[in-house]
Amino acid sequence: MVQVSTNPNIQLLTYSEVEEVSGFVGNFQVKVRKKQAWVDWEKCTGCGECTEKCPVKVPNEFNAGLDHRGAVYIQFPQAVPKKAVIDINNCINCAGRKFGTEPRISKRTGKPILAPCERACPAGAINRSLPLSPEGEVLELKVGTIIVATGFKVMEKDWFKEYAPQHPDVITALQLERLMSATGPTGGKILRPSNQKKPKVISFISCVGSRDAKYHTYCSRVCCMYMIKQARIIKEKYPDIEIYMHFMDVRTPGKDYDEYYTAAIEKGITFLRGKPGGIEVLPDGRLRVMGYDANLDKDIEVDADLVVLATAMEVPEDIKQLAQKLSLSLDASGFFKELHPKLKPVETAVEGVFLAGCCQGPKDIPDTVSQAKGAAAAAAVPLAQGKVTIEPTISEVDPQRCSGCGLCVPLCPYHAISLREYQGKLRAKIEFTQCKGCGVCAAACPSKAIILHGFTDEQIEAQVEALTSCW
Amino acid sequence: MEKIGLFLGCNIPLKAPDIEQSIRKVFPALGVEIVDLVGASCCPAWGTAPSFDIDTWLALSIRNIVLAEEQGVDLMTGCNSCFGVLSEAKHLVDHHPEKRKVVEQKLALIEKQYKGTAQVYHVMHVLYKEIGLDRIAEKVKYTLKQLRVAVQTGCHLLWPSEVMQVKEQNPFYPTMLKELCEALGADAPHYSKLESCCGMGAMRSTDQEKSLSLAKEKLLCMKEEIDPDMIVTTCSSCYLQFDGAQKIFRDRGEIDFSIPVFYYTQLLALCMGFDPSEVAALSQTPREEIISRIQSKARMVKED
Amino acid sequence: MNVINVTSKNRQEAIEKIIALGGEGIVRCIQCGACASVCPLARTGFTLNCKKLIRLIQTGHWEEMIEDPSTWACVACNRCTEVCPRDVKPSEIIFAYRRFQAMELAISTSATMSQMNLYMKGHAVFSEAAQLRQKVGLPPLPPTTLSDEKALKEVQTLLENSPMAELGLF
Repeated sequence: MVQVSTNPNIQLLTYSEVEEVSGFVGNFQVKVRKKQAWVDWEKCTGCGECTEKCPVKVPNEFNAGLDHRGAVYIQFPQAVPKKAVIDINNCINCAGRKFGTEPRISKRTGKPILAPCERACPAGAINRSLPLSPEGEVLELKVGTIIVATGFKVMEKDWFKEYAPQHPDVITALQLERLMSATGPTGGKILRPSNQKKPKVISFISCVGSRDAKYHTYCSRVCCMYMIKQARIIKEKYPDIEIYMHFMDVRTPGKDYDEYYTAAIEKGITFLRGKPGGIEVLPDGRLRVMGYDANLDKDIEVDADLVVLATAMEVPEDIKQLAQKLSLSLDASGFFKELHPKLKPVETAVEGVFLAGCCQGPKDIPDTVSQAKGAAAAAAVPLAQGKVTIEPTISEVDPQRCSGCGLCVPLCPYHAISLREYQGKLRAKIEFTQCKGCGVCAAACPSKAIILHGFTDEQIEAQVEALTSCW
Repeated sequence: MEKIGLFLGCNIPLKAPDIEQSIRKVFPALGVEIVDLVGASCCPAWGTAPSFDIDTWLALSIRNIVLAEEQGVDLMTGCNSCFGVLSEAKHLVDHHPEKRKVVEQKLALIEKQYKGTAQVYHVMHVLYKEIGLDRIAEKVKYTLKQLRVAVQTGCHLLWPSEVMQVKEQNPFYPTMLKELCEALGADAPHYSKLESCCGMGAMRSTDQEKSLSLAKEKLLCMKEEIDPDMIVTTCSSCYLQFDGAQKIFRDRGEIDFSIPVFYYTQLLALCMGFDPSEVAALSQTPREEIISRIQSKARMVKED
Repeated sequence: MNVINVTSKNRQEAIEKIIALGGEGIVRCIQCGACASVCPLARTGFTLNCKKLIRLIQTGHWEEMIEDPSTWACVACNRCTEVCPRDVKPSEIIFAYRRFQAMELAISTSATMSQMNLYMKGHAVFSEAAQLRQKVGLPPLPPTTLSDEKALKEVQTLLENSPMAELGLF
């Protein structure tokens, strides 16, 4: 990320959202809203002084809710760019310092009374007297191609009522990842959230929300490997911690992956084949995992101090709005749909828009890197060539027959049709770079003014005749 | 809700009629009139028609629900098993038009018609949702303060949550009965096997020892973890199991303690001041001592 | 030899029969074991539990366990159905198998008694209770089929017009 941020040919827009996309391959116009950070990023050095003075406590998203951040915060220590933002919805406007108001003057000192974050900033990056707009700033970009790489989120534990989600020592694997991180809430020590003590026994449960008809029927693909990774790191660091892993199946399809798994068995990590159906909370706060060992054909129990749920990867809710903006379709599982599952895995139905990473489906880091490089190369091709080849079977409007009723405009799934002036009247016009030749407009046109090349009535009738004639 | 149809089932009227009497006492006192579903039959129990032929099960269950419909009331069961059988039957018939057609044909044989207007509730649901904790607390004459209860909701009130009209927020961590006990002043702490099965029903008649092993595991869990003054349940089967199994364990010398068992409305009736010789008179595990403690001057919070 | 030749089994027939008896979820089972981990039958060590029964049927072992009483111990707690990630409804498979056993009369004596009671009294669980009831101030008979001949006749009509009638249980 640091390399990206320092590359003169790359403009990095963080804390920003795509508002609108129009145009077509080679000529996309993208409106991007740079959200209001309330901190002057030109001045902010990322020193973090302000974050330490803020009195607000909000669950820290980056640490998966395991600790708190202030209303003014830097997302995480390695953030690029490392700049502070104010979460204005949670800001309590200390000292009455709402943005755009003048400070009160201290009767005692005669100086203005500032909010702690303002006072703390050595660079003068926070000035609450400025009437900053909560809307931020909208940038209009002209781009030739677009790569969508919006990523994933993991399911929260609260969905899984059978696994005692109310108990603090039942955590998601992402939360464990934060507990294991040197920059996480415990500085990398594995401690039970309930009492900040080291666990003696840890249970991992796989396929929580994945491969599940109630939630997601797909396999999240990465859980088996990251759980084994987490288990092995814990076991190497703390050999005395007992680790039990409950699996439906262990899935390790990747280079060196199965060797990584079998080595985990050799290191003394216990694998149990069978999905647990419940967790009992014991009086001393430990968690009794109700499991089943399919190989023994016996119910088993594990009294654990910490239970880790490998909750499913899923796309964030707002992916639907982004899909609409980009005219992309989503598959049955909610991920962006590629043009062809085998032969066009990074292309989409919209020419010039490409996919990379988990927004297209669950995948691990090596697969994501490969796909991202593929998407980057694919996106560079039309830019380098300066032209694109389009399919011949697309629709065209005969402006003489078109009545200008506009019925076809909202029907087009690719936003390829607009009403334009033709000889003084409004007539439908199909942008041929956007048309995919689906034929919806041709079928709907009451004036029969739209033809789908290759599928005109005459052509279809000729085909029928040829197929039904005797020979 | 001004009145409700009481579906008796088999266990309550024939094995523990003091539970029936307690239901008949407390509901009118809380403002809900009890209507008898005259001519009701067995739900039918899981081991009968449901184990032979689905359509026969559905017809017998729906006939019972129709008895409530005919009187313009919803139906309330005291037995969890009846609740499960009737709720699942109603769910099946209401969600599968082809099943509904078969049932309608069968009911035509006995000149009955199913409209689908009556809901199936359990005593616990009506107490919790319709009457409410506040109204219950207001009627308490003898408080259960300083008494600890082990609550036993019973499986058929928890799962499958899909078919329930009134649902626990988390069926694996049920709280309705706990709150109902707390409304009487009692302490109802969590214990680890809160939602586990007591082993009654079909298991008891198929393999008594295995059935008793479940009851014992749960009983010991209650004793060791929270040492309750009594067990309180909303399931007549759980009631019979815990009441009867303790006697067996004591006779065999397997346990040296005795925890009185109450169906919730029995306890509620006692707290409301009803006569124990009517509402809590039949049990194998002695209850006299705890009953006299409950209905003592020291616990009285309200005069008549 | 302690070997099963699975190719000799008619899996399709077994699965179709279970579906016909109300266990349509059987085709979705991936044997994850969640049901068995909370099943009272598995916890108490019955020969069969929901997962094992499903596997036996999936592999064509349809008739071998007909005399096994495990399925009749299922308390229909439905915890398996609540935790199943594949919407198999394992308890319905147990009941589907019970129906197969029942129609072949592979049932216990106590189950036979219940059918008789249901037909004769309208109550599967029946015992003389007049004294108990009067002791607590209730009328000797509850207002059920026990005190309503027309109602009992209705129940009997439904039972007579069912496949159960052909089994000679009542």
